[in-house]
Amino acid sequence: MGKQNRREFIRKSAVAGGMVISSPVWFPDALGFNPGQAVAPGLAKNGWIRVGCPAHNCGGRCLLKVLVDDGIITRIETDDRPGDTPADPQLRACIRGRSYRRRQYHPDRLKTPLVRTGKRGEGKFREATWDEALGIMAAEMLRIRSKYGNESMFVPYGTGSYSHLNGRWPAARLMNFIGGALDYYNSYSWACISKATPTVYGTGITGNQRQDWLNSKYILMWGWNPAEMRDGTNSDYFIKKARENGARVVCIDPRMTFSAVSLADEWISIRPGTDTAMMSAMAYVMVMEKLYDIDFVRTHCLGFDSTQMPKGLENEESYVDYLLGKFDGQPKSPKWAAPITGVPSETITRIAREYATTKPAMLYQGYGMQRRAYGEQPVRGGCVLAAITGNVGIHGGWASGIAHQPGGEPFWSIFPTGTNNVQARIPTFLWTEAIIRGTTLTAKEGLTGVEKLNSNIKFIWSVASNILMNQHGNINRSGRILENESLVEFIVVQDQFMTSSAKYADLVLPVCTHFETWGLEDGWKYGEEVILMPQVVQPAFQSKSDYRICADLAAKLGVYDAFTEGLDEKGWTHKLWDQYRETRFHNLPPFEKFLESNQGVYSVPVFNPKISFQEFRNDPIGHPLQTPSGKIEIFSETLFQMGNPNEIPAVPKYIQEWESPFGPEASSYPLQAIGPHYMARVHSTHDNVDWLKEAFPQRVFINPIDANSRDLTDGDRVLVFNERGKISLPCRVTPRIMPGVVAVPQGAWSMPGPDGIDTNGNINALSSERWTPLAFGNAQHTIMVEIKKART
Amino acid sequence: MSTFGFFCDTSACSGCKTCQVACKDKNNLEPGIRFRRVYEVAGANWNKTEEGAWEHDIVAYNLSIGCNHCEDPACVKACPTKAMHAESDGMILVDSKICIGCRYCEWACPYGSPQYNEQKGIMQKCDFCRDYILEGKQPACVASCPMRALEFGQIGQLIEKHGDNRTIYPMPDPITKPALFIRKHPGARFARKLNASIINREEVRNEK
Amino acid sequence: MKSSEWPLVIFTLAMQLSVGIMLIYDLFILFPLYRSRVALPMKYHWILLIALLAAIIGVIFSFLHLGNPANAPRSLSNIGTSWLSREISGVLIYSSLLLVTTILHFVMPSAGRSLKWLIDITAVAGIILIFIMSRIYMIPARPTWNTFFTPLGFYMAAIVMGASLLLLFQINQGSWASQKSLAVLTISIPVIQLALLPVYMSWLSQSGIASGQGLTILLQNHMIAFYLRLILYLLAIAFGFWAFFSIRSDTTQNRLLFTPALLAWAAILAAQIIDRLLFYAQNISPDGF
Ligand SMILES: Nc1nc2c(c(=O)[nH]1)N[C@H]1C(S)=C(S)[C@@H](COP(=O)(O)OP(=O)(O)OC[C@H]3O[C@@H](n4cnc5c(=O)[nH]c(N)nc54)[C@H](O)[C@@H]3O)O[C@H]1N2
Ligand SMILES: Nc1nc2c(c(=O)[nH]1)N[C@H]1C(S)=C(S)[C@@H](COP(=O)(O)OP(=O)(O)OC[C@H]3O[C@@H](n4cnc5c(=O)[nH]c(N)nc54)[C@H](O)[C@@H]3O)O[C@H]1N2
Ligand code: SF4
Ligand code: SF4
Ligand code: SF4
Ligand code: SF4
Ligand code: SF4
Ligand SMILES: [Mo]
Repeated sequence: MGKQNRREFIRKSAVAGGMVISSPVWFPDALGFNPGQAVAPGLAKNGWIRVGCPAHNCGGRCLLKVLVDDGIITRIETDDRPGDTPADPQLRACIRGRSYRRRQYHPDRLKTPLVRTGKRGEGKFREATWDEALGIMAAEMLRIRSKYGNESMFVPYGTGSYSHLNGRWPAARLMNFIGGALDYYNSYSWACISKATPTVYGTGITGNQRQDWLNSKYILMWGWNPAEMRDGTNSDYFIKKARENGARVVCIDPRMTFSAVSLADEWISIRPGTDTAMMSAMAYVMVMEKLYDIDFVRTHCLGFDSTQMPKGLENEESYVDYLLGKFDGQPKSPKWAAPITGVPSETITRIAREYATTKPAMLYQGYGMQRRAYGEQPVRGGCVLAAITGNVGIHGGWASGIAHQPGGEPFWSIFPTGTNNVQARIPTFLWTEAIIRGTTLTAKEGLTGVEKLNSNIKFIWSVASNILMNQHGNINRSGRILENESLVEFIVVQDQFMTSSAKYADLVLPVCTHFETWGLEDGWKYGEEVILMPQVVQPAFQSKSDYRICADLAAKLGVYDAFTEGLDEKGWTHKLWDQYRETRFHNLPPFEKFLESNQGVYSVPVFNPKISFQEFRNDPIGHPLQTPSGKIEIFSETLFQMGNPNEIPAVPKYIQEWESPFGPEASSYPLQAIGPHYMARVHSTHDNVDWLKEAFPQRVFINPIDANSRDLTDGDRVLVFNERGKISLPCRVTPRIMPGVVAVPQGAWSMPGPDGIDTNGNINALSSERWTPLAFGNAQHTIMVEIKKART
Repeated sequence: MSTFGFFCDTSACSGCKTCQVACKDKNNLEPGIRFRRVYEVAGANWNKTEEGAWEHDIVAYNLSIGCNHCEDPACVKACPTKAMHAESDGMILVDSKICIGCRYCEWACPYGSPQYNEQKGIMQKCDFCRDYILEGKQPACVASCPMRALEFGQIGQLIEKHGDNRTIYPMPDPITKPALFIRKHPGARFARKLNASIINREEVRNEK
Repeated sequence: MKSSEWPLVIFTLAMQLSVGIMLIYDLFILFPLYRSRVALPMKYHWILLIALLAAIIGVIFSFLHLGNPANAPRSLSNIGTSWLSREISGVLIYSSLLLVTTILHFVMPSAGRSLKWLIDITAVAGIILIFIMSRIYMIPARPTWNTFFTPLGFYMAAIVMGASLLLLFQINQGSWASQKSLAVLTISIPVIQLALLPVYMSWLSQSGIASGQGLTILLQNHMIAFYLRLILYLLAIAFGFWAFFSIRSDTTQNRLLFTPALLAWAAILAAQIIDRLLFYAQNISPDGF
């Protein structure tokens, strides 16, 4: 349909039927989106264009083909490169990428800058011009900087964009040109696993290249759900291939995930937060039945039993001591673990035997189980199981841990942010602490770079982030903190939609989508590829790219030339492309040539997958690990010296969570609630997309046993609550979740009503701001709740 | 009559519904209209053991269905206007210019394939991406599947490759001779015994 | 309950009322009169008009059910395999016959009895129409409908609505016996419907998931309607008895019949509407597809 026809159709159907067009998204021009203009120079105006998916932080990186007609995207398809071999598979998009038109042309896209008129959080704004908005912002930045210093300024964690020159990186760069800002380290994603993995292996590069999965004979998907949370495009497909090659796959998860349904031969339901108990019991079986790799443990590991303890600590508790209960009198037998984990002892024993005796075997840990209280323990436990079964450094094996690939993890973003003159860094998760008591934080709360902060956080520039009021633990608390204008004095949110965080901003800046500007991406954790993201359509309304906003602000702050280096978005994309050519992909075609080819993705086929720790395995003395001992540290002296054995033990231990079905809190809140990453969203991104809501509506998933005892039937609207908050949403009664556990997919936009009850089902109204002891990580999956039928 | 068919590998279908949305994108479908639907089948008994652990004998699998372009299509027989008709190549199509929107084909189809467009007052349905097939391309849904669990092809070839199984619990007996070939999820054997059922009704049907 | 099915409820009930009137009129009023030489008074022709009116309402609502009525004429093009096509033809034939019959009766009021053959034909067309109507629902994809309970229900609805309406008409020229028979029908059909209910429900519970789900729909989702219908049946029976005992051979006393007949008719109509709504609520595909 041409432009004219589309418009006419709209008018006719609107007039003729006298009706409101319920979903006008296919007629973006009628909604006022800028159509009809040629796209950025250098690209065909119409026709199919290959471009990276605006992946946000989805865990995949896929190729899209978009059909542009008259300046409007009218169709989205995916990678259709011929071949599709395991060495170089097609990067087929998921449901979110395929739905993207409904986000791109959503009627609620932010159209102009907005200045707050009501109270913080009330959501009342007036429109402003860019000039006015950036003027206000620059003035506030300068005012706050001179009053409180650069340490008071903060660009929080925000994963909305990994298209390299979009998202928070240009903002971070700009801050660095005006003296820097308080920085953070670690992530919401894998705080514990990235901290704990090196305590065992001295590195986070513990994985094998994914093609190697096809060599495995036994795969334990431990809390890992690649069929729903994308963990690298094609990871689920590679498991399918591994099974075709004869691997047996077992999934251990409180939910029978889509991975358990479609990728696994067996699903073991485990009570959340008890994985280390099951791991310990498995190790116990291996010790008792001598199934572990005795030679490998002797030559490559440290602290397994009392014979290989570090010097001076010979009398401390070794791993075997812990397993046999030499110190605490409690053998960690399957019988011990069964009531804790909810896994029958025979099952634990059987899985221990299977994993120890099927060679080679992989134990792949998901990240959900480390986003919990004491999330460091299952990470270390998994690594230790991989080590004592000798699955480290071999084809088809897997060392566990965070498992970045040998050859280097992806660059995520190579946009140069410059050097930060502020040395202070806080753990990602502790930003609310830095607001309310920043100057009192110390190394005990994970502060690094300085002894003390000079100021609490006074200025927040939240770019590509919904952390403020949606993704952090205990958002009702966050709301109370942000509401208080004497704490943070100025908040800017830069986004594409009026998110729950944007409602708390003093200034909201409208950003264009990835289709409306230039960028590039590389693989998410896996995938040897670079994907080019040329601009295919004009920015909607008055929105601008993150880069352009920062550049314009840089002009107001007097650092335009330094910030831009004279380059526009395309210029920077070209520059970054060349950087890839120099550093990582030496055969990458020249930028303009590649652009012209309309190929979209450059990928390097992997025929001989690399293996982590191969050299160490062959020669542990000549190629020691980067751990203090050079060995795999089952017992970590570093952790031992921290002197907090109850929360940071030197060997991996099961520690009862601070909110648990075994604690006193269970009498009021007997159900464990977990917040899995959902098909319908990337965190909170896409929550307003109708096709995705239709396919995967926001529900609380509950076992029939728990539903029956609460008189709930499928589809009933229920109240899920604890001391921190209340949410109401319909329930899905399903046998695919174990009794005692409910799941509320994380990321729904927080939409509290006047009574404070969130009616959209954001689990962070229930989660807590408490952090894990070692990694200062978020424990947002550790929640106890109760559920009852909602009134209405 | 029918020459083309679909294949769905229920042992590998992850239920991701990418196929559903790929189809919606191609056909510009309102929410509520799904030419392709993904059914989630599940059933289980949960029992607490003496140890205080949980035992279950769960089965669960997913099944993606568009229109099966049946060889003996109930929808075509039912349609009073012949709007629902078989093309010479066996594809079952709706001619929207003829359709009166009586919804009778919707009742007659055992697979919930015809989708009523309330705004337009007519029936719509998977057209096998006829334009794509005639161009030699794959249907949008098939080309989209991240698990490579969907296939399309000549009926004869599909049967040769995957056998002639056209049903899985709880699909009805294939009396319409659906051109849908299915690899059974191993769990399907126990589904009847466990009284399994489609547990995502709200996602596949519009029950008002 | 899908609101979109109200037109179908009204269409089917209106057509069945029309056919029921014609059938009962023919069998229980005209037939006994046939041999006597009494001339038919105007009141009798009004009965035809009511049947015609019902048919017209039915036809109008059948259009309302269509999403795209502009194409309606096309619906006759698949009489070969489509029961819906056949139904629409049936409705047209029956309504035309009824129209002609009614017009002739009004144009030539005295010719009344000699036109009985026309009424016979219309009634037969009506009987066939109801069969066709029920066949629409007897499809494998709708197991809850695909049973002889469907035609049975349709015929019973026709008969009981027709009989109770004509009872209300107090056709006092008719024999005392025919009035009594109308009352008996008014009582016995709800009795049969009540008696069949457990039979139908046990059949539902025994025949697979879809039908079992049908039971849930009846007993849980539409519990109120389900019990309301039971009460209405009982009321209809009670009023029917009251009417029965109000019938006097002395035709001057027949005024007594009006109130119970009206009540019975109202209860029956309400019961049939609920019955039909529940019928459409049972529109479920096999096993949730
Ligand atoms: N579709 C989709 N994909 C995504 C994302 C998204 O938002 N949507 N986000 C991406 C990002 S940023 C990240 S960090 C990753 C996150 O990836 P993960 O952290 O691995 O994802 P989760 O869904 O939180 O958890 C994975 C599984 O762990 C299970 N689980 C929870 N608690 C426990 C436990 O105590 N023990 C065990 N054994 N299992 C447990 C959950 O049921 C779930 O199935 O996903 C990435 N992929
Ligand atoms: N309870 C619970 N909470 C969790 C998790 C959990 O498992 N459970 N997971 C955690 C994890 S792993 C993560 S990574 C975080 C993620 O949390 P966030 O990083 O806050 O991710 P999103 O919620 O997706 O918010 C990203 C925002 O960026 C916007 N955006 C998209 N593209 C662009 C762009 O190009 N420019 C700009 N300026 N904005 C853009 C989107 O509209 C969206 O509002 O959430 C964490 N929160
Ligand atoms: S996995 Fe991520 S990159 Fe791939 S299509 Fe989905 S949202 Fe886009
Ligand atoms: S699946 Fe249904 S709509 Fe499709 S051809 Fe068969 S009967 Fe007709
Ligand atoms: S809705 Fe249209 S296609 Fe379906 S039976 Fe009626 S006329 Fe035929
Ligand atoms: S063949 Fe085409 S129309 Fe049919 S379900 Fe697949 S994508 Fe949709
Ligand atoms: S895209 Fe493939 S795996 Fe996903 S639901 Fe459809 S058929 Fe199943
Ligand atoms: Mo994450």
